[in-house]
Amino acid sequence: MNDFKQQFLGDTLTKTLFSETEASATTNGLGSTGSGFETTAHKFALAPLQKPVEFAKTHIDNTSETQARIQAAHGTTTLAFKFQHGVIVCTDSRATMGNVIASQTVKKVIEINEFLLGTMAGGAADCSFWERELGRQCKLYALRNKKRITVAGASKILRNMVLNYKGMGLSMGTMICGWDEDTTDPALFYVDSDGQRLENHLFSVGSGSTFAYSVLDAGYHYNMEVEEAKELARRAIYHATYRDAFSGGYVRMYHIKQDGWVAFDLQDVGELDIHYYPERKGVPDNQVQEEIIRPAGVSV
Amino acid sequence: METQIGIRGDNFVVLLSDKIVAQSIVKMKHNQDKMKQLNKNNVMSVTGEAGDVDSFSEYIEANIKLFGLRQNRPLTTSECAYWTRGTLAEALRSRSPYNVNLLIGGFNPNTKKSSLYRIDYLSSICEVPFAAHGYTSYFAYSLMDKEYRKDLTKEEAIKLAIRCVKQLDHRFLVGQPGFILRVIDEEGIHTYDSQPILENGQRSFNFVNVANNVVVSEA
Amino acid sequence: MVPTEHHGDQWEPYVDNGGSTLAIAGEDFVVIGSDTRSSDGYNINTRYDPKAFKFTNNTVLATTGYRADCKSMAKSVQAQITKYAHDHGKEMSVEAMAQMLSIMMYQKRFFSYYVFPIVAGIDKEGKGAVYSYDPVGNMERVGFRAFGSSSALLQPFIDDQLGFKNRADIKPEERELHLPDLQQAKNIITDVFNGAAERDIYTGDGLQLFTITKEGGIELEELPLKRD
Repeated sequence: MNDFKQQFLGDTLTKTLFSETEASATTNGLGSTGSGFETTAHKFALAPLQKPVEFAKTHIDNTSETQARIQAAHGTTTLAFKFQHGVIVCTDSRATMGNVIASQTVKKVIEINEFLLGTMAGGAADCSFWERELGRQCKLYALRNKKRITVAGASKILRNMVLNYKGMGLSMGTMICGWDEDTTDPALFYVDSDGQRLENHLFSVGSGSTFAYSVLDAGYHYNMEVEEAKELARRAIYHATYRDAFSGGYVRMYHIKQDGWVAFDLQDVGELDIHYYPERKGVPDNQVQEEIIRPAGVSV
Repeated sequence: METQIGIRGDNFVVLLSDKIVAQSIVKMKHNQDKMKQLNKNNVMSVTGEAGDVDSFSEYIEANIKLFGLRQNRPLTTSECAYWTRGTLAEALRSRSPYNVNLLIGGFNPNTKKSSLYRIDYLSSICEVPFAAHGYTSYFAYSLMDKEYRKDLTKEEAIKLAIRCVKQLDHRFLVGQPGFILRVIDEEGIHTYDSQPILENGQRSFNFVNVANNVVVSEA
Repeated sequence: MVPTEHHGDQWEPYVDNGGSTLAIAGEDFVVIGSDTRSSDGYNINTRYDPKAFKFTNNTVLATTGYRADCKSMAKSVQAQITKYAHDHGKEMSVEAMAQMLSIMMYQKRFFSYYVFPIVAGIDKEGKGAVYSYDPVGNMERVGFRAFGSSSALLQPFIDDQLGFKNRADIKPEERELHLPDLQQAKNIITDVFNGAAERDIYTGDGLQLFTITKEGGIELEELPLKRD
């Protein structure tokens, strides 16, 4: 199945009737020659220790939850939902490393190809690396089979790839969104680094997802018009950035139609705040009343 | 927090599971079918760790289907259960064990008998008349102990399952809003979906056969 | 399994050697500033240990973090770039190098380099390009970026002066009109490094200022910084 897993995890399941990758590749119809997809052409360097995985987990932090020396950048509120005119994909743009804002201009929507979008939550590098690899696999599929891969197939390839590294500290929560060839319905899957893969009409992922869900669930129905859907997504992300400190920056929005996706302009959440609540003038709502501002004292 | 119940009659098995997929405090999905139809006489319901559930059950399902195609006969319930247990036990002793709890129920067309197997994540296996996993077992086992009879009819078994989920809804902190129920008998696999109803101010569930809309209620 | 004398629990193969880097992309130029001090705790190891590496006539890699990792990473990148030049008969573009570095860093996802790299150069359209990374290879093209021990001093300043972030006096759509020219960018870098050397104990001694333009290639100026 892959040298990497064999070498370091000593997986015994691969020796039974049928290897796991082969089983999934065959049920996918992804070629039954035995090799299936080369999901692990990558040789990752490991610490020269008895337990290299423990080293990776204690020294590299993807979550802001530990005090590891290496703080990898990670992303935070993302959402996607299906409706009658396709899929709306919407994200914030903040990346944090520990409690520092590493960037306010992150692209958390990954353009896998012109019909497929992936989103980024969790470790930014984990998402962008594996979704780039997924793009390569999808291109290979299209060249071999003279047709696009389905969204279900693409999301399963991604699931199978990250499953090889389960328990090793990868952090990825992504939504794979698209519209299959010759179908009337859009498709939306959630894939994470636990190896979980779900299909549904509505997902939100990241630390701000609970806030986004609440706004989204209240306003969601399948027969929305495009403008209503976009406004709902924008509102959900805006409110998530307002309550979740790890979310912020700009609202980034995509619409997947039957003939591919379109991207919309970024919107600064600071300007959205003024747009939605002009009376606040960009000041936190409980401080609108006049205040005497004193300079901060310097103690010597 | 997941619910799994199995009840075996003489010539049928009832399996029930909830439909929620949760990630930390968030319900990610409300309509997940947690059962796999291994072949036309056997069903496996699976709960456990995210990722493991999918990858393990897909692997089991694919291999049992493959066996049926190669040998031109379906595996029996006990064969399904013991092969699954063996696979889980082997993985348990590797560096990548699967954390899954299983119920495998089915009907043997040759002996005209049904059987139900309970397998936990440590690969212990037991052929049982009724079973549950996780927190559910704290609420369901006493009811099943009290109400179970060998000559339970299908209707009565479904009603017993309803009493279990009604009790869960009433007492368990993390009650589930909906369930899928399957009956495996000589004719094959019948799927039922739950329908919440209000009974004297208390919530209960009816089960509707998705093929013909026949309703089974507790009363 | 690998025979080893390391003890997994205590093994700590990372040190933060301090120092700062700052890159600014202009319309047709890039400037990269970096100080030359290298420290370990309260000891200064050396006052002259350059952090920025010239790779092609078009690209510079500036690094902070753990010096040993910075150097071995730079060496691997240099090897690939040289190989690329021999294989293809041309120099690697800054775009290609940026993506390659991201992948090379991710190859060490489970035994990461402790580095914060910036790749700077002139892109295929002749525009200034700055790419910034996290230690596991997450890449983003940006207009300007500060990394290292003074990043918390430098980045907010250039966010204001170059990005006009949260500035009520300049509308978002007008921000591009105020981008600096080459001399202004160089002035900003020398000024902020003087400021950083004043307030950050890990930044000082010398400033290396790389300027990359399409016509002039790479120029390096070395300027003194406070040595206390």
